[in-house]
Amino acid sequence: MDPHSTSIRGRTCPDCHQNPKTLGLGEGNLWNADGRWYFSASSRTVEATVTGTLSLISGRARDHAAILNNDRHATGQKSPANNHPLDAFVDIDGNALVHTSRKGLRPFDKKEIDRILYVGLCLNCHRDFKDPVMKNWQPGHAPRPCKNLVGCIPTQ
Amino acid sequence: MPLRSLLTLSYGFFLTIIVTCACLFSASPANSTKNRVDRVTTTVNGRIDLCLSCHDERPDKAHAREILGCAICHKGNPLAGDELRAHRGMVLNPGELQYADETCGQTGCHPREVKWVKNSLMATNRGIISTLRYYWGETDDHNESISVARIRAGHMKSPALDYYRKMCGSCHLSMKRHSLPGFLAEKGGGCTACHLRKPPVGQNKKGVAHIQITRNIPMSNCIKCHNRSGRIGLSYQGKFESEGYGTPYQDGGLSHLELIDGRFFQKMQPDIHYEKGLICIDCHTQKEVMGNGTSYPHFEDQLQVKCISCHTNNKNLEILARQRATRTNRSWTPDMTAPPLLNIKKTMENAFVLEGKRDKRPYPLKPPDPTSCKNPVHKRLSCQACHSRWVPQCYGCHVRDDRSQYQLDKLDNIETPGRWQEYRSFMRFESPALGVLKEKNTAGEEIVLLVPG
Repeated sequence: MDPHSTSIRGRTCPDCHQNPKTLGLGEGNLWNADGRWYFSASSRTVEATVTGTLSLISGRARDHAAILNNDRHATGQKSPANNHPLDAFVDIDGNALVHTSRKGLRPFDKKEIDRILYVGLCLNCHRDFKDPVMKNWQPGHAPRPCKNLVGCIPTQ
Repeated sequence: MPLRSLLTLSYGFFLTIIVTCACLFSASPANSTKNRVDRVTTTVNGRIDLCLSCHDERPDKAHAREILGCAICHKGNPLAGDELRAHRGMVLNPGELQYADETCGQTGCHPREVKWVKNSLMATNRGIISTLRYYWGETDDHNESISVARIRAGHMKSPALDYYRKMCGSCHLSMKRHSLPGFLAEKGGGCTACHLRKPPVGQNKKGVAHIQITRNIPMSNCIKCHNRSGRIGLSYQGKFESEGYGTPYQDGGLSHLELIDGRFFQKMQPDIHYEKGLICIDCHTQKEVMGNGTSYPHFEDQLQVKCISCHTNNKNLEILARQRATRTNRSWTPDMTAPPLLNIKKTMENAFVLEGKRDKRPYPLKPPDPTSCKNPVHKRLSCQACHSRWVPQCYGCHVRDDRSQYQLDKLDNIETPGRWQEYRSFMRFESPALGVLKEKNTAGEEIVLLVPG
């Protein structure tokens, strides 16, 4: 949808590449250790919020009930855990947690999340498109990690 | 000729005149003589419209009383000389869709437009109804075609439709204007729901003014309805629907920033187009809003204009400007993929501007930033993914049906058992989430906003 809140200046690079909420993970802490990403949510879970009333969280009621019951067959999802945060669309492993309102609309998958976050690691030094590293970045051909970052970034 | 014959002939002639006038102007037995017209009034083409002899309200120029008279729009009997017979069969608001075929849509006026509108999403609410039923698990077909008229007929009953009747049922064009209480009274009205412009106060001798019909639809008419769910009408003006606590408190009381329906809001950065002075109809074309006769299942299917329609290179703008300059009725096409009919013009300096439909001001058009927007790493990004820096996001939305209470059914205008209440866990505006949308009919994908609520 177009929310009709357009601004001349777009979002900053970190707002997408270093922000778990933009990625659909929700608010929380995101870190990388041993080449793997971890995320700790700061908001409440669905299970803690739902108290038996008909609840709609970006999805259809009966499927949502199936998610709450951890019914993998009914939802067709890999990990429909009922302990995901309310503002999460996807978990750090790329498993979709909610249904969307349109056919063909989905949260990012694992590969996309890793790819977006990989750029975020570089942004602390190479801040925007004025930097040659960012300017010359080709789709599908991410530059090799800098030496001082080796060991703390995921494999691309 | 003998005098007697002459007198008889004269007598007969005057008698005929008197009888004719009596038929024409006589009041019904129930009426007093003061309600009879005292002169014959006609339109400029000589058509008798006796309404004009009593009524002095003045509509807009396009519907001038001297040209059209009253009865061509309002029906009734323009040849009757008394109030009761003249008003019989009259319609107060000719724009209501139930009359529109015979009023606004009559031959010689706007038959094509009325046909489109009656089939449009705003008149049928097809998209809202099918999405609601799909969400609630009442159908597997997200594109089913159920209109508000079918629900109103009472043939279908379900929890989702009961919710629709009570929470959404006031926002459609077939809703009769002024039929619902409070602020809801301003909603609906068929053609006039959009095309109405309030007149200056006290226009005629009775202090009653005729509404003005306009093609330059005021933004307030759109926002009457487009302020919930996606809340685009609010966001456009820089209003973020906040939590219902009325904070931050002012002068020891609740916040003064309150919408007409009781929701509180906080001021945010408005949409840049709003800040510059553009209104809804400057971007949204007739086909997008009124439809083109096709039954589109959802609004996104009825869209024609994108950001890149205006924010593009000069070659593309040249096409739009030429199309605008050479527009004729015959050049109209129902094709939604055709270039949109925007008010784009070429200036003397060979620059392209969008001329405001209401204020007639030129708005310069700028192409996308070649570095950030055109970089191949961002080729999947929609414009909104980056340029919508804040979006109302409603997390944990849920509803409750309290069967011990009653609530107004907006379609039937009666209180029925069951009161729907909407709840949410929290609202946010910052860092809207992104996701991937597979484009229809192509293998392409686009990064778009994921907006809950």
